[in-house]
Amino acid sequence: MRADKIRAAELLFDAIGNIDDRIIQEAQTAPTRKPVEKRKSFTAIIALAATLTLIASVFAATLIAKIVDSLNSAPDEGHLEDYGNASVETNASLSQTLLDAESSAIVIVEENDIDFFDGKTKIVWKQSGESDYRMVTLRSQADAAKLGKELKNQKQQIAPEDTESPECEVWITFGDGTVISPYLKTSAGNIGYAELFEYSPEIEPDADLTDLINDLISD
Amino acid sequence: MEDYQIVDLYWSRSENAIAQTEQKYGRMLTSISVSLVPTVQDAEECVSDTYLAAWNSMPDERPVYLGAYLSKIVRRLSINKYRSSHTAKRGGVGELVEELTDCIPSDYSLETEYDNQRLAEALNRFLLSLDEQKRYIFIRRYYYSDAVIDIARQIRASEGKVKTVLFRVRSALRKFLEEEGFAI
Repeated sequence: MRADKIRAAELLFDAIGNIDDRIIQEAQTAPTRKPVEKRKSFTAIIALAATLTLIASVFAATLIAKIVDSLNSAPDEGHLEDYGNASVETNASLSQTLLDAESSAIVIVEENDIDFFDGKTKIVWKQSGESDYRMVTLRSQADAAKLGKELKNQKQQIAPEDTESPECEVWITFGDGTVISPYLKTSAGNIGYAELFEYSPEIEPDADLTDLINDLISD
Repeated sequence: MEDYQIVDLYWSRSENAIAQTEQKYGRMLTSISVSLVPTVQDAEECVSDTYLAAWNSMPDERPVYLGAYLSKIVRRLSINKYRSSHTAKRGGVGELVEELTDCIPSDYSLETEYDNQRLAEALNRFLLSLDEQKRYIFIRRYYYSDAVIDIARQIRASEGKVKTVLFRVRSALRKFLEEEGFAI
């Protein structure tokens, strides 16, 4: 069976040698970005900056107005202390959640220390630019099953094509050699084998998955 | 010298044709062959045979894209050389073929008669549907047999990005071949 597949791939490899001359010729020089695209990007950046400035101004004005209102209605000092502790609730990204994680279950390892074939499911992540990896081994098969199910349930919010790599790269290793990242759509082409492959994000892990991973890596 | 001028030299049976071909395309042809065959000597032999094949085929042929025309010859000769050689070599044709198994539909059947030209035409359609950078990466890897790290340098991207693009394009090609009804 395997030999047949290799034979079929050889035939495909041979057929690639018969593609159109123009396609072959085109690939003799590396593609360059067209100037019009640069102009579009520049315009998009200016528009984004203007929008963000506007949002920040509105937010600041609203915040100031609320604080002024509160000061007028709650003059006692004890009450005022609460304002300093108030926080804006936000949905943390998976990347940020992992970067902030602190737990005794987390071990720091090098890639060579990770056993891809020990039958255990692990969550592995690395801050961009660092050489060490952080790893949590899931405690039970039930946890592994829960994680597998949640990965399948992902709402697949598509990340823009030019999305930069996240500050933190994340992989799930299943102990049978297979490796995936929750930042990629699960498909045959996105499954690595016995290595932590680099990637550009295709999707944003959703809040449910982020929460679950947060639970799984906590004490 | 422009391609058409070199082709004219072949047509006029000028021996300068081969010298000009070597000067313009020798490096590219050697690079393709070296990445496919077991030894440098084999690669040199394939490149020499390519010049000979070009000499014998012109006239009658008048290629518009001389580089592509010659690269097809050297690629074919190098693959044949690799297959006739019993020397195991890390990388080369074996590694590229192994990667391409990702593109093979799971329910393929070798009993179906394989039409190489029809598949090449389907590949043309598939490749033209890709954006230029993805097409470039795929062709550099599986036609020119460039190493991933070299492709990354050429497009000023990370090795990881090139690997990711190759993963995705192979996956898309597999789906495309299924949709096109190829039982490879």
